[in-house]
Amino acid sequence: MSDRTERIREIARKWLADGAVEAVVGWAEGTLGGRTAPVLIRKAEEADRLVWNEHCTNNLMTYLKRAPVQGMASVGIVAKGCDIKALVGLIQESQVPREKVKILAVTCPGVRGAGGTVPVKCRACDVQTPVFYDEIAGEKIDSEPDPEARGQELAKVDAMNPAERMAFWRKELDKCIRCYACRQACPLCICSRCIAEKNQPQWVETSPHPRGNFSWNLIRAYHLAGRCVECEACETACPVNIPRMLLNRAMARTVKEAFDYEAGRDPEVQPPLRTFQLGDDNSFIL
Amino acid sequence: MPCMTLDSTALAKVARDLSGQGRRLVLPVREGPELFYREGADPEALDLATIPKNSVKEFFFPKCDTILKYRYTGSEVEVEDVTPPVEPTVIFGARPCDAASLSVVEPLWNWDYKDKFFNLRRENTLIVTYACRRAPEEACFCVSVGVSPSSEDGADVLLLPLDEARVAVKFLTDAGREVQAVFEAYKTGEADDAALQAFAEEGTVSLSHRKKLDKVQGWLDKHFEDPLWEEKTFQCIGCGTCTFLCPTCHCFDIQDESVFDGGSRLKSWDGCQFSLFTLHTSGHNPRNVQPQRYRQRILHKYGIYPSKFGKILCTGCGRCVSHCPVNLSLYDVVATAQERAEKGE
Repeated sequence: MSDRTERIREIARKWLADGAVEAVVGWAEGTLGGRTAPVLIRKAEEADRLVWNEHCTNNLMTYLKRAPVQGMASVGIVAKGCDIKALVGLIQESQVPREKVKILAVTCPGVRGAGGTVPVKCRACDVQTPVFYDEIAGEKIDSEPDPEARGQELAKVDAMNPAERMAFWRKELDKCIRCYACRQACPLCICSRCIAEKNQPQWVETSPHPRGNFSWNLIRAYHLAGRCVECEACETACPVNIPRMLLNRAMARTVKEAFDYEAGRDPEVQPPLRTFQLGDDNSFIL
Repeated sequence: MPCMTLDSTALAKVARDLSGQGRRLVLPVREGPELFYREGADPEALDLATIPKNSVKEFFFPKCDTILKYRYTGSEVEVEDVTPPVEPTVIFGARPCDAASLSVVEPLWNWDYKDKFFNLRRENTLIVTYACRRAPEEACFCVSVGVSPSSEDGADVLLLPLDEARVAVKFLTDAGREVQAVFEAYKTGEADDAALQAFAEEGTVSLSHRKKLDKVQGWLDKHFEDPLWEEKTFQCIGCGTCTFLCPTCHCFDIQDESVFDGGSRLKSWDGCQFSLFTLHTSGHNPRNVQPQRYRQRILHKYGIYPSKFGKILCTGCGRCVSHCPVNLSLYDVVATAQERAEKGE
């Protein structure tokens, strides 16, 4: 058993025994090799079900918007640095009161993606030792983010001419089956009724044909502009392997260039698309 | 009865020849780390390493189907019936759990209304099944629901990869025997009954750790309300991955999409894991929380469908287990129900 696992259990056990939280959301052993499963621990004596390993890929912040966690007065949540960025977003947007969540941070050397690959977010990670938490498990890790990691895939799309780019997205988005796993896995897709499910009027065609798929995938990307923390939960969940992080990273890059803002950094800072300042650059509309 | 064998390297050539006879070719190919059944791929790209991520469902019940068209003229509505454009198709290298799924859902599509969209495609599709020498994935559990790694169910031709080099071929239906010559052209030898028997046993043995799920239906009848549903399903995030990747899930939504004076009625995949699936116009939702929706999926597959059509609505392909983004295992849930039934709980 790793030191991190032991420490996570110890902290969770204490929080539950002290009544500091109603429950702790963490990762447990999965039913398949190379997988873990999100778990809700309600009793101190069940804390030993919690584990930490390189397969703890899920961003557990998505459970904050769901029953039964949503209805709890206080909850502990085990989180990597990248997951905590999502919580920062939720706090900024007044979706979750800071005092409700006790963050059981874990220092993370990186998780594994499909086929044992190293996800882009891990190569680019600068929060291997989280900075925003209540308790922390694991030895401090000095992050050495690869500055090229986030741009490498985007560069391939940037290099395409408009016709090639259209053909690329047409092929990728044609695959969409409208299962909405991307939205469901996303910690920041917070609408209780998604625009894709509104039919008076129907903003987005629900049918998985090219027109409907473009509408859905692009509107989701726009709704995450300046909000997406690049945790990759959507891309990991996608059953048809659409490279949807390309859209999210392109939006993040634009927001960075326009507002010098990166999502998920500081709960005290107002996100640019939620505020208006007289000095804002309006040249793009005027 | 002995059957012919061919070299495994000839399979791509057979696929090419079948397609050359005027059939649309569907076969598993690699995309990144996974396989997908794809239409129109190069036969040389045939990859039979494991079970594809999508099922063959989409070639019979596509994710989006136009079922009628309409046009308004003043207050008049003109309706045009639609017959799906169907071309002769061969699915080459379908897994036994996928081929078997077709006979599981056939009675549903022919229950009261005879669904021409499914039936026309089914009648025009030749299924060449590639049996599993051993369970290809950790999540496989076909033997639990009466399918086997060398199941003939739903297949016209069955390929049995006896070893790395040799594939035995069985012709099971008239449609299969019609294309026998295409396979015979590459014949290199014969396999006797003992070899076929050994093959079937190896497959079954590779899944001997799986439970028979024969008592689940009875247990479900008595446990509509049970703590199991909440205990097992906390992590479900209500995405449709399990239902959409499932070869037997068949729920759909109907939408009219109009532009100015006319439009189309579309039938698209839907799933019981969505909150909107059962939302009433009144605002009431009889399945208001995720455990109820997950229970519905199990009830339909292991209780309701078998009581109506005599077959479990699951072929144990394991996709919903392998690809669930939160590692919620359907097998784990139904095996728990089975265990509890065995204990008389």
